[in-house]
Amino acid sequence: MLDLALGILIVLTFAGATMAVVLKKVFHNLLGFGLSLVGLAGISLVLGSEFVALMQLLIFLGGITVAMVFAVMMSTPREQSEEPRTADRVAPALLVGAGFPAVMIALLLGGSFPTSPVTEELFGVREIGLALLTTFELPFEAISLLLLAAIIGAVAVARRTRERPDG
Amino acid sequence: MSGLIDSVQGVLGGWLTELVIGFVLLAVLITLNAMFMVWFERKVAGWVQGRHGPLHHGPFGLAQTALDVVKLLGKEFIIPSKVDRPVFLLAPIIAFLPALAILSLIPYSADMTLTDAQSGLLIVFAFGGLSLGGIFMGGWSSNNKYALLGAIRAVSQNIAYELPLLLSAMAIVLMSGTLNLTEIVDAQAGYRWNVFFQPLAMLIFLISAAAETNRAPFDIPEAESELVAGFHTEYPAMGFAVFFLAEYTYMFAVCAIGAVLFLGGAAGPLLPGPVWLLLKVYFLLFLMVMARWTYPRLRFDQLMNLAWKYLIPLALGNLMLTAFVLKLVQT
Repeated sequence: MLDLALGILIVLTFAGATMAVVLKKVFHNLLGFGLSLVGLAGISLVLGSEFVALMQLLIFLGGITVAMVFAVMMSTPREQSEEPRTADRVAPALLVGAGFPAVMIALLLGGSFPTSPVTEELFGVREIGLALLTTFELPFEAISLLLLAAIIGAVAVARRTRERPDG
Repeated sequence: MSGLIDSVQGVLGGWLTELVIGFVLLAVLITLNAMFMVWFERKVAGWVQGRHGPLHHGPFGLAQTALDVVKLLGKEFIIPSKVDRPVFLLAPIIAFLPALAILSLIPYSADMTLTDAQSGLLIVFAFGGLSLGGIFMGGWSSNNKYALLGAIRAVSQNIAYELPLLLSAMAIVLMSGTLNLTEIVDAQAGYRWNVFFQPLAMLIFLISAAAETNRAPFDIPEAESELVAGFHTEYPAMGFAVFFLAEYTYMFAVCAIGAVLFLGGAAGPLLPGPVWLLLKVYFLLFLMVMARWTYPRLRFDQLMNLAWKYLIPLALGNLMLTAFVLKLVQT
């Protein structure tokens, strides 16, 4: 039963990813991206980490995808959203699209993974919270510093455009 | 009835039967709630404005909504020629489905929960965010300025109010030390309801909940005086009805979560648990309906200011104070 669910979710993830790349309208690409994120969340859920699945939905789908949709809605009118597909655009995209998975696969094949059965106790909300505030305190704080810098940067950029006389 | 359940169980097996029965019950609840809420809202509106509200069909006009649904079912489903067909047709479904998932997580009484998940509250918020997808899909695919504007407003409003909603609920999570909705209810046993300890959190929660469900005075995504009907302007017949159903189901879901977090869930004397939960939910829904007919709609900048300048700092302060007091009590 779980294997079947996993299979369906993997197909869903790849279908979404293909939609995100192949379709020609930006909004459809985004919907495909969202679909593949839902698939990924489902995979984490089936494989036993409820928390990762939920964060996937909350942050990537509820936050990042929505922000991207927002940007698309604000910037490109629908009529103009079909861009021509020329070689000088496809080539770098292919390079990045093939290069990143190549590096990742090389790392995955070279690395070793713990083979002990993963249980809910290892990846529950409480355990992850405790780990973030004890063992991994420094990276956690460093990330929040990064986010703070990003927020201040965003505010600074927004301020500048607002002060411009009747822009 | 039990004979029927047994024969279903024979065909499908244990947990699948539970699932099917649960979802049939939820479907009944969703339908009845939507029909009742439309009637209830019109009656309260009439009461506020010194009118009668629906009167003619059934006792107190109760059959009015059912007849309206029949009318909507009979209408032609006209799809405008230049819409993005697949997205246009999918949008109402995507707007509605997460509500079903949220309702399945609510503890209707001490032993009546369809899904008793360990991080139930997080699941509720994760799925609550998904419904926004249906709204912007509908608004964008309609190929209509008003629909698109409505969808943009809905997205920015939801981003802004998701934060205070989560932060106010987190204060309760800190107090009960769990994300499991059943355990949150258990932590309030003996009438130690969170509303007595966290009145500010409850106020912030209710305001953000009204904004998240696009309810007046936060209904700018469908402000009829500016945007015709907002994101569902182009939707005919049942497409419109499904969006409507989604809205009322979310109102119920959000109020049920409010009742679980702040009002002790299904706890109460004499009456059985589900009755108490429904009483609390409809009390909160009554507050929401009253707010709609009492306050004028907020302007867009007022709406953003309310969230970013008041609700979020207040909710953050409340969260820090809660953590501080809890630490004091512990030591």
